[in-house]
Amino acid sequence: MNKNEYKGYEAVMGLEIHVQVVGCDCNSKAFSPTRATNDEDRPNWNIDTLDLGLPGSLPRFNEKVAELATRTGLALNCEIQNLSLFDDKNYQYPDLPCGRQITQQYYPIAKGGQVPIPTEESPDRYIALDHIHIEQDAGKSNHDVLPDCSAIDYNRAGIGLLEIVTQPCVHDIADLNIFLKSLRAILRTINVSNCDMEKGEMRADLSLSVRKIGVKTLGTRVEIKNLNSINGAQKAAKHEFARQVDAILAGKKILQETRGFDPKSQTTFAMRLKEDANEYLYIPDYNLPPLELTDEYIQHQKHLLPKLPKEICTELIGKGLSWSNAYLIAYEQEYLAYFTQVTADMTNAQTNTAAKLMIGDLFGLLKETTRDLQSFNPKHLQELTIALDKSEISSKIAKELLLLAFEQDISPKSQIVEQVSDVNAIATCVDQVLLKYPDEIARYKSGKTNLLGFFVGNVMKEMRNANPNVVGTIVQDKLKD
Amino acid sequence: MNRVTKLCAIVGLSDNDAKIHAQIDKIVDVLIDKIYQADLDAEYPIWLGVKGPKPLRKDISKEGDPTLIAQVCKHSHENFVLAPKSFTAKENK
Amino acid sequence: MKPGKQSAQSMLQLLSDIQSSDLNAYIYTDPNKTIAMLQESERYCQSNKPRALEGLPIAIKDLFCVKGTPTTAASKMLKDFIAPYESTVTQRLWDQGAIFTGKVNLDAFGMGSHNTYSIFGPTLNPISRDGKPTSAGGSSGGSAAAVAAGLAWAALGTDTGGSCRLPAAFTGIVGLKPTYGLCSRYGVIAHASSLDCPGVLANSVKDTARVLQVIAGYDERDAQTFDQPVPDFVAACTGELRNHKIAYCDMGTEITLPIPTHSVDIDAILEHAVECYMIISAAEACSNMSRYDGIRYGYRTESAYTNLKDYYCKTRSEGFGDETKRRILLGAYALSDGSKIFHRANQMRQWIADKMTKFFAEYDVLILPTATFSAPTLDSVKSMSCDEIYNSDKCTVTSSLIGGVAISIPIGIDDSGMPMGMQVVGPPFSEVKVLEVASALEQVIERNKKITRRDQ
Repeated sequence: MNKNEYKGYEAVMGLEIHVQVVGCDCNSKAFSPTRATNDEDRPNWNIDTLDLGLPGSLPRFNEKVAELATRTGLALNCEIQNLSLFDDKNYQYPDLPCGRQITQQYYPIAKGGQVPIPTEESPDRYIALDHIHIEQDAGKSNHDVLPDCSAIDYNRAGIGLLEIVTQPCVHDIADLNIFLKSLRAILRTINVSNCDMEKGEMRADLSLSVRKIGVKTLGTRVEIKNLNSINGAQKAAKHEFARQVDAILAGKKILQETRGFDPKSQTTFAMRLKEDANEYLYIPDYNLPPLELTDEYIQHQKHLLPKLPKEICTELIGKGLSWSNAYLIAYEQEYLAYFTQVTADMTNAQTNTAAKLMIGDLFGLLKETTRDLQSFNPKHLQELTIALDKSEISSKIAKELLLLAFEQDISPKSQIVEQVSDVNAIATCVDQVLLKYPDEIARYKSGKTNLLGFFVGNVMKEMRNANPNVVGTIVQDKLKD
Repeated sequence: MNRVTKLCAIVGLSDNDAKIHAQIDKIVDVLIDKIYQADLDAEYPIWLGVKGPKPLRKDISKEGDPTLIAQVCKHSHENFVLAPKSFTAKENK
Repeated sequence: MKPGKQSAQSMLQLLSDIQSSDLNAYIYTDPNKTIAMLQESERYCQSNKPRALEGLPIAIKDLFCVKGTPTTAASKMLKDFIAPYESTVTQRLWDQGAIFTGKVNLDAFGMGSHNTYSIFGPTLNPISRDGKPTSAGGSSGGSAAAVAAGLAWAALGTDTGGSCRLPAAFTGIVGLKPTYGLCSRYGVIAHASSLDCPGVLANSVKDTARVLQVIAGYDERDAQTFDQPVPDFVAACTGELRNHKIAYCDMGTEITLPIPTHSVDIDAILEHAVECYMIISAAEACSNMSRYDGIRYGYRTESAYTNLKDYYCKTRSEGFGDETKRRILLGAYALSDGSKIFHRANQMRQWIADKMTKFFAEYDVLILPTATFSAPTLDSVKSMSCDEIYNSDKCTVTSSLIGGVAISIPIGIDDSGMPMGMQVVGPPFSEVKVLEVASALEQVIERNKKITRRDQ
């Protein structure tokens, strides 16, 4: 496994990923019946008694969140627990309506598990998970609306979160990127969440400690909270790794603290230091009965799982795609959906051709613009692929037609004139052409057989869409005698 | 007195009520003593509630009530709830 | 009070009696609302058959959200809180024609045994010891006093560790705690979520059953209620003792009962029940009180504060009363440092439940006193230590811990002339058996006569 090294030290990292259960398959929040959405702009419109923490309000667990959590656990190879319990994590902050957050501290819904982080050299690598548990999101605080107070909006309060916790087993900062993309791909494939980090649908907390290479014990852990982009997570890790090593080498002690990440300066900064270690007064939430999932239920959810990125990647490689093309398509739900549409009835060879066209050429065009893949009509790509596969066009022509389709939405097929293989039509044309070149015919018959190309070329000039192979055969036939 | 002061900080109570502190200290010691006197197996299972048919909530969403803030909150502005400002990262240093 | 269904005239008289009463049972009335509800009830009866509780005046403990009424929990924290929604159980009462007479007093947030921890002052027992102001019991002191003094036909209370039963025993009426989860807690201000039960106080076992019939049953807004049909509680109040095997433990009072029982010794089971209950209920209370911070509703400090933490401390210390603070701190202690103490109490609870399950496999019901003493004067309550007060619940907490059924009925008058109560207790879902035995016992007991004891 790759490891980052800095001045003789290595980093030991773990991640806690919060995935919002919004949109996709889920209509309502995890513990209250208001809508599971981030689209409500008007403050405190999407709220109910529990979302405000009113006296006498009660949580009720959404069966859909149980299903999605189970689905997620199964997709990540976890052991789904027949019995899990809900706990309250008590702390006070204005955006927490009940002064406590419902979570699963001691008996989570899923234990163990793995997230694949494949590379071409090691396609079976993975990050081990500790567990997955269900919890609820808090409201949003806006500190800039007014000068001397914070404006709190509880629309988001109570939306379900799946917290996916890794073991502290990440040593290569590049793996953070692969991990997050892989997790996102899987969650999109199983329709649990779109994991749009900019919308807050997926958030990462990174734990990082350092130790001298070769040492077994772990260093002091620092937590960096609320990373909201994949690049941000990598940059934060890079900065924090160096910060800690430099501090140790300068003789300073690493404080066990929580830090934030500033994307502008790309540095981590200390957040308000807590006087004591966090004391959250965990207690079972007795408003919620234990969550009991039967073996039949779990098996049923397993049967309903669609093909996951890893399997899709393997399948695509089986069809002849290069590893990197297969990985790129399988682990990006947007590309996969599009590609599946394009290659629906294609042979393996065609599928491979489509992949090369899409990734090798189309992506290049997209990169220069702000357009997304969806803006390019999949039919165009289909037509190009099939034409290429049938040798109706050369790859040079294919690139030209691709550009034409991309810029002007012109169907490639409409530009590929039908190849004519009609023997009679071609023979007529050959006769006409051969009449023009009696001297060359004589030279050909006396042994200069390389003049065949000359004759074929002239026929092609008269009949642009003739099948060159057929032309050659006919010319040879006619000049036999 | 120290442990009660620490607890006050955790639960958001002022630590200057000496009389209550003294009462709590006494009660805590008595109760803790008693509960540990019991001859109870360390692995004994915990209470999980009264058993019976308790179905999970169906995933049907309902419209929220935007008037709730106006009804119960005396410190609101354009339907936002107003809270005292907490420290920001800048203030910390 | 005129018995049963009220007329406009009798209701006005009742409202007037409430106004002039010095028991401090009621802390809020809305005479216009009461009269309007009565008029609506009369209109309804013109073209429909009377509903289950038609025209009956019912007082509501101020832990229940009644939409549009101040719902204070007798605490400064919620002094100005007006409920924007209705609790499930009170709505069921109004849907069956009951009339709201007002909100009645309690120990703040349901924490207490003598209704002495209230911003409205204590409620007085209509029956006084030695002519002095006497405890009505708690936490549903107002509910009990209102019913005992004829200021309501029945009252809703809550019972977490005995809070309906103890005041019923002290005031000489009937108080019922049903199976945990039988009645919805939606809209009921929470004290301890695994123990709170909406409960009923009334003058007879049958009246209690009538109210229970209306409020009990599945509510999709409370995940701990049961999606199954509810038995006929009223029909169970036959007054006839069937072949039930009845266990009796006199808890040292030496009170004798006029029905056949099997004497049992349950000291071993009860030995740690009080501390088990105190730790669990305090821990849950601590968690349930977390939401009271003045941000969204309720009391906010008016003093200056330096930062958010300071704001929380000032608001909560000023808003909560002493007993609430004690429970919060006790609970915090039990939950701190990995919740080890709470965990042990949780295990103890299951141990007690297992023992009681075995017990109820042998016996149908258990009878024991609601308390081993009758209502003290408020003066002597003042000089009691906190843990003395906690021990008042010794006889009632076990049925709470197991989620079982318990009803307290008046058993007679003690030597000081004060009423005492006797509980009939059963496991969860044993309401029918418990009501059968309780109504039978009620038939043969004369509640106004002196209690008979063994050495007499």
